[in-house]
Amino acid sequence: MAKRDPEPFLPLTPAMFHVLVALADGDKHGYAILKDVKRRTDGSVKLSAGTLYAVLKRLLDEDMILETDERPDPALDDERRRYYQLTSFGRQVAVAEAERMERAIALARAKQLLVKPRSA
Amino acid sequence: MRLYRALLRLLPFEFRDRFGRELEGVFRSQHREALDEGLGARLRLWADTLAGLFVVAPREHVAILRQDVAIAWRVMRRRPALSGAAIAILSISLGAATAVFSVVSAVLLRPLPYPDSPRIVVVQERERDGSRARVAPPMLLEFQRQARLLTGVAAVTSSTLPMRAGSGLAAVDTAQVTAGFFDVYGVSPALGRFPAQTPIDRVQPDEAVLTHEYWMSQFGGDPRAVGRVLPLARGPAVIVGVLPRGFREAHDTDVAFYVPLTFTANQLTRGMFGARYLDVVGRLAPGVDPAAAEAELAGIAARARTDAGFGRDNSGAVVTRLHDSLVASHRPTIWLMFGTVTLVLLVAAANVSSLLLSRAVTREEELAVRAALGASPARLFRQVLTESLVLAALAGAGALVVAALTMRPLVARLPPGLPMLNPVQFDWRVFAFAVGVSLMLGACLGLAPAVRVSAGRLFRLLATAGRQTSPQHAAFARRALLAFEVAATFVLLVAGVLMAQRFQALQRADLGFSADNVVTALVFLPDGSYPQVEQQRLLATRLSADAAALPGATAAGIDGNPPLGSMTMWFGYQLEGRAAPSGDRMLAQFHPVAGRSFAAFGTRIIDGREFEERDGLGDRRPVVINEWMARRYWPGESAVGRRIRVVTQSGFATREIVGVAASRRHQDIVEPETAEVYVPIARDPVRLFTLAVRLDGHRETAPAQLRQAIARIDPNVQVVATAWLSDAVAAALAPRRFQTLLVGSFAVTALLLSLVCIHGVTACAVSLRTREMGVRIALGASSARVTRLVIRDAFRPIAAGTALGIGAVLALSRVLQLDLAGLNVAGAGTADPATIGLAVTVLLVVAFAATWLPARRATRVDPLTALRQA
Repeated sequence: MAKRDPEPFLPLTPAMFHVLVALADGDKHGYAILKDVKRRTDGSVKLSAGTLYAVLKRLLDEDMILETDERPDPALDDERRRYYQLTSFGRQVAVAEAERMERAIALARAKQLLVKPRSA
Repeated sequence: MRLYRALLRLLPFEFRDRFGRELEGVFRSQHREALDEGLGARLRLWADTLAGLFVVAPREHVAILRQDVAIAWRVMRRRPALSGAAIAILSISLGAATAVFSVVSAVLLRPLPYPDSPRIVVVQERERDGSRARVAPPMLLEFQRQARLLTGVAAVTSSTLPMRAGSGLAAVDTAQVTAGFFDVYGVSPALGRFPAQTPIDRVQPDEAVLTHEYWMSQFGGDPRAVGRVLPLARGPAVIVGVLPRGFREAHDTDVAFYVPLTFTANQLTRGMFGARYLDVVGRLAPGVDPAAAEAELAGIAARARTDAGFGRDNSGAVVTRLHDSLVASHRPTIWLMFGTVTLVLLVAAANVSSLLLSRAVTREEELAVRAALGASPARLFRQVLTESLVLAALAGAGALVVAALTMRPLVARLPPGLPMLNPVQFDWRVFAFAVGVSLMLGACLGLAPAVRVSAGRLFRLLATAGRQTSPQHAAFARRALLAFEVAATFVLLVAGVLMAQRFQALQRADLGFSADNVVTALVFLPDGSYPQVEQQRLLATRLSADAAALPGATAAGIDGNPPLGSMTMWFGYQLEGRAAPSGDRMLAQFHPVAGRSFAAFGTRIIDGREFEERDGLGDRRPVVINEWMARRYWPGESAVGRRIRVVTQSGFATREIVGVAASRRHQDIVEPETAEVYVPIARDPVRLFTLAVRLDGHRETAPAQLRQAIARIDPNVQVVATAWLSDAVAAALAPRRFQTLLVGSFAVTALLLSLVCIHGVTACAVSLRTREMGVRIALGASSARVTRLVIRDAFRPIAAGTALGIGAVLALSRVLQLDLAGLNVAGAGTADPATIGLAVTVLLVVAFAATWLPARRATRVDPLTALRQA
């Protein structure tokens, strides 16, 4: 497959970005993604189930994620759940978006819009 | 949970198919969690869920639609000729329908452009026999004084007034109105005020209020025009106000300015209850319906007539909404136009549908493959429907362009007298019509194939590996469409033939006068000149004699009320010694004549004689009546020597009939015959009349010579205009010529479309039966036999369609007969057997031509090739 350029997909919508980030540290099913996003953003980004799956559909169609058959622990798992995995292209896009934001922050800082670096 | 599942239905089914169960799973988990957290969390969850769905659902629908449209576009691009033809056919026919609809909308659907216009009504008197008449001046006053359910009642009469312009005179269209007229219409002056007036005493000098258009054209919109004087020939009129822009009153839309209508005491006497000549309008009080107002006015009319000594009879009043009253007589014509254009549209739609079916075979194979690859039936249904909707949308856009281009020429040629108070234009109704019909067409065109696709036939098609089960279905559908198309075409053909017959009849029609080589001059005697009746008589004689001496002149004479002169002068009459048939209006067109007026206008004298010089002298009071009156009142005997009583301003006067003239068409070339009474102009002098000269041929210089001849007699006699009478006839024919061409071209278009369709269907049938034909030929069938077979087969839907068409024509025959009343030509314009036979013949000849080629092809099938295919 020819190498795809992440550039046309930027900037990502916040929802898309957060879903990609949620999948960065491992495969997750839909509900787990929701909880991850909510936890990481202290509830400031709230996804409804409908929005989530619209985003997942888009990401699937663009080959940024894929459905996976691997189950972390079949005993704990619900049969009906599908797991989603970040593809390498999805990772590239997420990285490109993060870099884009970083550049934006740097620019803002240079212009004294942001005074001190935010502590993580 | 059930609620959530129901909400998921908002999403496109593809989305539901793919993620529905997972969505439910996630929601269930969220819900479980929220249950633990309490009511607030649950409410928040529902709010978020709903908000999310309402954002996602439309977005997903649009995404899929965009995909479908892209595919549809590719499919269309693959067969550009076919798609182009389909779009062009639909664009043109829908465009024409839209243009006609814009007229329907402007005339019939939109309310009149006045404030609270449904409250404006037309008030008429009801005669003893129930027929309607205009209103007599004394009755108007009764209505004005007593009516409580109307907030205003006012009268209008239009008149052409000569006005000084430079050294000469110009005729200006004006209207005279009684006080309160503009209140009825709910209009206030844009500038100045309305004339101050009372019913009887004429305010001197006259006061005039200008229409906005006249103010702009004559005074350049200068506010100082108010206070200036209009040099009317009958006396100056001071401009006191200007009407708002765009105001046109319903009875006369071409008015330059309004002057007060006042009556003399004589005109208001009880004897004048019979002089019903006023157009009267009223405004209903809020919440009052016309029937209630009619009952009130009828009571007033009956009382007034009883009090005036007319005795108790059935006469009363009629109150009609202004809009209904204006469009009533035009409604059939407009619907006929709309009906014919709709038929063309249906024919075109059937044709396009047939065209699309011709590609259904290849399409279905392709769709079957997609279905096999996993596309759901619902998905394919949506895809196929989208394809035809895209086609229809393009056609709709094309139709808007076609409509925009044809609207203006169409409006310019509409039938005369059509009340065009609302401008014909693109408004939301017209737009909605074009869009709505194109979507409907798209849905209709796409529905059948879409249902077939989703009904699972595709799998069967795949299973049979294209062994032509599907094409036969398509063939049946195409035959059904063809039958329908033929029926619609047939109706249009009959309508076209009828219109052509009617137009021919109109051209041949006896108008009661002959317009060839007649030049006319509209002459006005300025107020103050020729004060004596005798002076006027001598002038009329002199004018006639000098005009008759022009080069090439064969006769010359005067008529104060000439045919097609856009004026009418009615006066009342009674028969002496006998009762008129009930139902007669007892109003005659009044013709003050001089010289050889009948010969100049080419009106035959059927009985008795025309006027002589001595008729204007002494105590004789002769009249000439028309043939209609003579036949009606003295059937089977001569009217000459009988007497009638006519209404004059001083009451009834008895006159003796000395001759009978042919009945004339007066205002239009198609109108019912009515009573006409001619009197010597010396007996009833008028200051505005037409001098007509009949020539031995067309002479370019005759109008100028006529002007000079009049100027030689008296330079103060004003010639308002000169014209050829034949131009007036041509102008009256022009809109009918257009209607005939319109319906005729519709019929020809439909016929061509049918020809294409018949050919296509037959060719398709032949190619489907190639093997069968091969077998038949192999078994020794002659080529004539094969041809017969094909043609017989093809003619089944044609015959069915024709039968359907004949049925439709018979059912519609009343609609097709309109506008023929008053034509002197019998038999023209009815859907008689001869007309139907003619239409059938045309249709069959075309159908035969369309089937002949495919039939010939069938005979040339090579049996070997055909059999090998099997």
